[in-house]
Amino acid sequence: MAKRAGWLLILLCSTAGLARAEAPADEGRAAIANLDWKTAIRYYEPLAANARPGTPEWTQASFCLAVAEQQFQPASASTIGTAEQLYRAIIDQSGDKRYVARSLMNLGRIAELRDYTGDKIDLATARKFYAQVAEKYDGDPVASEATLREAAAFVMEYDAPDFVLARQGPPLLEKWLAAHPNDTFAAPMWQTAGDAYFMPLEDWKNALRCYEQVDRIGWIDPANSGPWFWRCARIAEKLGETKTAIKYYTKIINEAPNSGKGYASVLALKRLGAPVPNNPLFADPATQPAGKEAGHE
Amino acid sequence: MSEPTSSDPRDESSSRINGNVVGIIFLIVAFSVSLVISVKNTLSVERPTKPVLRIAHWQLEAGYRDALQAVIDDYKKLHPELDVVQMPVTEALYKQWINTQLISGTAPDICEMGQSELLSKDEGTVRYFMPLSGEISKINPYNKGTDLEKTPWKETLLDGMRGGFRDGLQDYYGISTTYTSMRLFYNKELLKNAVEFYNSTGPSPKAIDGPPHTFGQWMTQCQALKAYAAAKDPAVLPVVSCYGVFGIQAKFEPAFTAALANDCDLDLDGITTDLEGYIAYKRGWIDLQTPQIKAVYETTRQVGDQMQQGFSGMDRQTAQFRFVNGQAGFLWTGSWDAKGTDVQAKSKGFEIGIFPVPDPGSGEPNSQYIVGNAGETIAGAGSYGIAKSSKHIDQALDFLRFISSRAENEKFNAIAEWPPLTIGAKPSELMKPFTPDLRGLNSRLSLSFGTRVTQTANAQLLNYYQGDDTFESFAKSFRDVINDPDRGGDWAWWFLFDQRQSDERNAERILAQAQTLELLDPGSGDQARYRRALLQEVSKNNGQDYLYQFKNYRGFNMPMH
Repeated sequence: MAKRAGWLLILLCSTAGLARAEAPADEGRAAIANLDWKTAIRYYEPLAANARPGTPEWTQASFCLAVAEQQFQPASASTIGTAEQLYRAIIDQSGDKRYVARSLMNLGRIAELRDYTGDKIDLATARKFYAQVAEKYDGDPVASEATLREAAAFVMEYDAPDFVLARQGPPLLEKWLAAHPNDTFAAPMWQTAGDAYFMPLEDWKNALRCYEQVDRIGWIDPANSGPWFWRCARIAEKLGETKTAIKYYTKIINEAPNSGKGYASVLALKRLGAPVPNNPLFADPATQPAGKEAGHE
Repeated sequence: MSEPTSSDPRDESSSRINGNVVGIIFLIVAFSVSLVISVKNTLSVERPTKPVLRIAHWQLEAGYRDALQAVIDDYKKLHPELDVVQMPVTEALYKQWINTQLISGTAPDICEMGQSELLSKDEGTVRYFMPLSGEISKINPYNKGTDLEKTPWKETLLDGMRGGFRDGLQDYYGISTTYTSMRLFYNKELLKNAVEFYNSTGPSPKAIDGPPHTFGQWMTQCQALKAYAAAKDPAVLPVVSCYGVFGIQAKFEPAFTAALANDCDLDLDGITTDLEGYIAYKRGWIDLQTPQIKAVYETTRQVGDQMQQGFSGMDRQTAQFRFVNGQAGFLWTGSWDAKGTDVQAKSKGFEIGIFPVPDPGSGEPNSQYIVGNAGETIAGAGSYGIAKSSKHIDQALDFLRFISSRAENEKFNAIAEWPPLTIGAKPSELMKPFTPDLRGLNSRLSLSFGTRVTQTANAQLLNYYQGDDTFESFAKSFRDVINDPDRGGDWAWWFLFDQRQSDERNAERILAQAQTLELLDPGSGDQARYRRALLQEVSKNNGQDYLYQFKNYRGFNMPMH
């Protein structure tokens, strides 16, 4: 009887201890949700140190600690260095591919971003990490994200006048999209490709082609789509694609009337001889001198 | 010899004792009453008989508290199980007070957003306030029975809830209740008298009574007021304002420069940024002598001529005082001052009229450069967020749905005399002139670029507007500062680049947070929001596009400061 009571006591204590052990992880998680990196470090540091390397608990605590160190403000070579070491340890020792993939991505982010004064941007290294994720984790959304990042890191080279590297960005995205037409990142990929063709490559025809793909899929940020509609309309007009220009001027009036270009779109449609959608916000435009703003060349 | 007056010492002593006793009794009574009130108040806060929803704001303008109370009263009729109280705090104290409340976890359930960094910067907002994107796509049940009953809550407000959107966080943290716009108020009686007097002197052109349709007509009315002041009442000024003339200049910018701005809009996004204006300036496409740009300054200068000497020093109280006491024909201010001004004017026995700043009409000076009316946009204001520490988050959300429903938003703004924001909510008579006119041009070209250029140039520009300096003097100062390598346009360009990199780094923190939470709890994140934030970050190119453009347009590498 006494022996049974003893086991029961041990079991209860273990359960209580386990509950207590989970509490710091909860606190750490809450700190990350609040962008409170300092508190997150306080909770995850002992959890990572006390867990056995390679276990799920260790992977989780080490990753969260690494993120907190990477995002801590003010960042320094020391905090970023600690984050890098932790990510590398996860890549080497963890069996959880989700954490390994994100650790590779975050090493890419460290290479790409200027984290502290004097930190150097290393786009080539960043691209290597992104390419690794895209290749190893095809089929997972993180691979799409990695492809988007890799393409953006090519464009960010802005290597004028020939743009040997920058030119590689949009085709990388288009190749990915050809293989993954229904990718959840398709809209941001087409939009990024369109932006790159527009600037710095100044290839407006291809820019418009990519934006048309975004329009087909659906703009990812409809509340902010007004400036892109305007760009599409203006490019289309400059390329002589009047029908497309009319489509986008019309979309501004119907879908982004408060973007600041609604009335200019009314004037543009009148200038192009196209029907003007009835929007009460822009009624009674007869008193305005049509055609002097939109499309003024 | 008179005997010394004597009195009974016992009498004196007894009178002194009586006074002390009265004092002590008074103190005891006062203390007891205070104690009872204090305990009662403490209990009502700490142990309320029913849940209390607290709403904090800093709007102490006439009518606002009554308006909010009316909505609260309506809400309490529907929800008698809940108590709702407003906590008005003066603007000067709001920041410190709300910071303390937020940090100590005792913040009111609903807080007006702004003033404090904790309510306006992303780091504070994400820590202390509830994101609302998951809620605003749902229907607002309080719009039932109207044509908005099937419309997502977000789309029921004229600004599409942009007033509560945080770009950096890619989420909505506030529900706006109104919007603001600026107009010219005029004293109908004073203007009528001035116009009659002026026209009796046989001028050409004659001044018109009532709201002017063109800038020239307005200036003629100002002439009439000056003539009236000289002959009848030297205290009268044509125009007063505590907001100076830069807001009026902003009104003229699209009217004169919209077409020019479109030519300088290098990225074709419809917004000609200050940087694009600077590029155009450095490339020699435009300068201060460009007729459309000079016309903006010259027209605004005429407004400055109608204000008092050194008008930039006029404060809000003085401007209001002079106008409501019949010492000014026009007051340039915003919708937030309408009710107070109207009430005071009526108490002084005159009516006010309200109209937008008019553009030069055909045949008037600089009218040949006008390309169209300036358009307005609707930006939500009076935005309220829900504190994460609230114990009544569902009720707080429900109250925000209630106040932004068509009927209640109309009622709220009708009492406050502010413009309603919900689609279909009718403005009060007083607010009708503040309805934004979207039928206009929005592109504008500005030659201000960077804080250092703007500070110096605006100081000189103000001297020009106040009649203390010539346009040529302003132009020289502008050229000196914009071309200064350490504080001019090139410095501002570097500053933009540096700021962009910092912003990107902060955006990275939001993405890292979302990625980590998703790993810890798969499926818990809003993937659409994540993709939006990711695209936004990617599209800013970590500021590298600024370096490229600098070299492209300036011909050398951007100097780092």
